[in-house]
Amino acid sequence: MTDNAWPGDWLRGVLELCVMQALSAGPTYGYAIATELADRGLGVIKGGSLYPLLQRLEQAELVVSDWRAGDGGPGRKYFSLTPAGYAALAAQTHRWLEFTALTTALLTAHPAGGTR
Amino acid sequence: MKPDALSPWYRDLVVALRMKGASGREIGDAVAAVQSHCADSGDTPEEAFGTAQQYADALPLAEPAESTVRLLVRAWPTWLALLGSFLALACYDAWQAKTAVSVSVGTVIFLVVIVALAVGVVRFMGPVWRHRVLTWAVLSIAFALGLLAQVTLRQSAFSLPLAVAAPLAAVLLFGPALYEQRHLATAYDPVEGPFETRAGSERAGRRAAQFLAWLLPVGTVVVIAIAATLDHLSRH
Repeated sequence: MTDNAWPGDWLRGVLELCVMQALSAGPTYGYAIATELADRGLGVIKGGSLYPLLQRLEQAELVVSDWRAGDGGPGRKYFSLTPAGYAALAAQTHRWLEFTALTTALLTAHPAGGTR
Repeated sequence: MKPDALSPWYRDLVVALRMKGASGREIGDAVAAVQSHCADSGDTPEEAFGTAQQYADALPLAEPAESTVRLLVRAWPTWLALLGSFLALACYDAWQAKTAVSVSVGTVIFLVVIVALAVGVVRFMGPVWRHRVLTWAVLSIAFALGLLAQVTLRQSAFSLPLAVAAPLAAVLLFGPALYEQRHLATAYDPVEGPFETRAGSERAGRRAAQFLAWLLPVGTVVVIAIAATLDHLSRH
């Protein structure tokens, strides 16, 4: 699925985890995170959603940032996970997988539209 | 970073974040992040971030915004200097008339109007910024009415001997300026981009602090000097 059709509530629930996952490979900047998530099928993540989330992660000390000068451009703000961020990512990923396994089991127990 | 040099969307963001209580460093960082993102994506700020107000609302700040009361209390040197300015002008009139210093009912009303306008602007900064022309019109009318009250309502509200009022006016007028000159530079918080050095803005801060601290006392002395010159010319 490559269009931006995921329900907003679902995205809000999982976006933080996906952003942290995008950061787990190493320092990167906002637009690169948005592009990676879009390429992986999550849809277009607007800057207005992404940067406040990154700032909240930074305030929670799960992420740190630093500005790096660009070649003739305005420079880029690079974000990277802290050790606490990696730990939170691992813990939350584990919980999320449990949750999705549970919901998958629930949703597939009775086929949609089926009767008991 | 000079907010005046930015395009309207960014200026609105600077104002919205200031009103929310963001520091100059936080604002500069937010502006630079939007510029960087838009340079990479080719989007306009509005396309990628919504309106400046929406984005400012969404950004979490390190420190919560100060309350209206705290902001007004923090401006105590300005309030004292304003009182000193009015008292100094009344002292000049009394010295000319060789009478006790009389503060008129109109002057008291004018002071109350100024304080009320300041409270209104600080309390409703958001609507004030969004309706700048209307605000300017309302403030001008209110200020003019206050001024009219000062000119027309000449009966004395209270009076003080000149020997008491003059030193008091001097202390009220120059004391806050001396205090602010020492302390305002550290409170000055310009919008700073991530690649700007603190030294440049601190120099600008000191200059701005000195200018602001002495604006009211120097202005009052200039007004008294002009009044004295006009009085002198009218007598000859």
